[in-house]
Amino acid sequence: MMVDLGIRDILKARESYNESLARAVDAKRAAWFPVAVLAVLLALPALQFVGNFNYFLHLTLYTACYVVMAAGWNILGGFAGYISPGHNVFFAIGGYSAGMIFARYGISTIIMAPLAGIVAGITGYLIGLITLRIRGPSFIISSLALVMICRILFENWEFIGGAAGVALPANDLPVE
Amino acid sequence: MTDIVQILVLGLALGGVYALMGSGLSLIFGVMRIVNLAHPSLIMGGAYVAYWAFRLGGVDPLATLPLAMAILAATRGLLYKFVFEREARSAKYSEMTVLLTFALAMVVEGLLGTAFTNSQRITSPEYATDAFFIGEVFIPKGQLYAGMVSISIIATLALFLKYSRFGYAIGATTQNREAAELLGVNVNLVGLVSFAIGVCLAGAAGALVSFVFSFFPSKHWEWIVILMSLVVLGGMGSVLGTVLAAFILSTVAAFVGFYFGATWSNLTFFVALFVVLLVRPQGLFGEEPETA
Repeated sequence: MMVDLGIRDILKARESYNESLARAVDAKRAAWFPVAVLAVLLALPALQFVGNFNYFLHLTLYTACYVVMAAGWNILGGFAGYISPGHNVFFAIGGYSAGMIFARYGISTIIMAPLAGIVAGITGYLIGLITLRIRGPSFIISSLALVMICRILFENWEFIGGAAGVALPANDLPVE
Repeated sequence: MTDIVQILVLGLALGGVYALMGSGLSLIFGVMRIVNLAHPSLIMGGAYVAYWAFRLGGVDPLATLPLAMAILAATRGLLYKFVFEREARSAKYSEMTVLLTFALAMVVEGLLGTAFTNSQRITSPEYATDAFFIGEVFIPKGQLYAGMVSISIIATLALFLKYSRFGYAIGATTQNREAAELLGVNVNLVGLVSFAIGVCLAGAAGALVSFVFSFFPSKHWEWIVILMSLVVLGGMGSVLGTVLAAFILSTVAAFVGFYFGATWSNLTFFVALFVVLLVRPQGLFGEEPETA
């Protein structure tokens, strides 16, 4: 017996099957967990009104920064298979661009963070045009070279403070 | 004119030392496919052996050379057994070794820093600050001796690779590991011995470097990229290419340092690395690398 199946029927069947798969995955994933983490992270700054938790906040902030950095590395190293020891260069570029704008024009780094990301992204695109042409050990070596080039450039570029780095204006919060 | 001759002489003298530093790295990559990012930190180990022998016993760094080589060769067996052999079957072996040796370099740096502090050291035998004069041109004795010893070690290595039976085996393994194994070469032994030779060269280079540059544990990050640029320009795995690249690049770096200031001379190596990867990724004598 022949069943009359058009292409459209097959596509529809596949779509509904995929949807059921996605639902199965969604059911396993607890929705409350990321929401709870986000809520805790958003509530953390309030700690400063309760007592002196400066060190703890500082630590959390840095941990979160490195988590973002590592997640970015995972896109390149984990998904694309380019193991890059030079990832911190783009961290530095983002830091310098937001920090310089804060030091010169007083615009908070929190507002400037997306812009810093775009600057680092554009730089990464231009560098990637060169370095992503190769894979394997050669790529790893080239990204190590990138670190050293940036180090020499940043240490000798007077405009961005040379080896002493960018000096940010002091804020008016009490130091304890 | 004298300036140019002078810079040329200084560049070539340094080139000899860089060649020795790079040739061990090149050998290890060629035979073992290990991208040994820990190589300069091992060189640093050799430099510390020479430094303490000089400071405590007054032994000339040139005389400590065999000692530095022996101590490092002893560490290599442990290194190979415990660090690299486990990963040998991994499909992404070269990439894995990069991560392994990256970590290893940091461990060595930390150990050296803890044991010997992070202050700048340099061995100072009399010839290190002395120089020969030929007319207007001066040749620093330290760099000259270091360059000469380096070149003679490399020449011995080249003769060994070219004329001994074991040298053939190393060459065969570099060219095609599977084929060499089929022809009856014990590739594991060849790998272990060439790793040992490479690390020995690191020890020798360390003893020489100890009176040419001042050193401190974290300086190896600067060296690794310099050495890698030599290996890439020479062609991955080609010892001859590495030596040639060392002379070319260190001469260019000497000129850059003279005309633009000493800060920028190291930049030559790093930019050269990029340009080589862009224009001729296989280097002077290397094989075609994997492309994206």
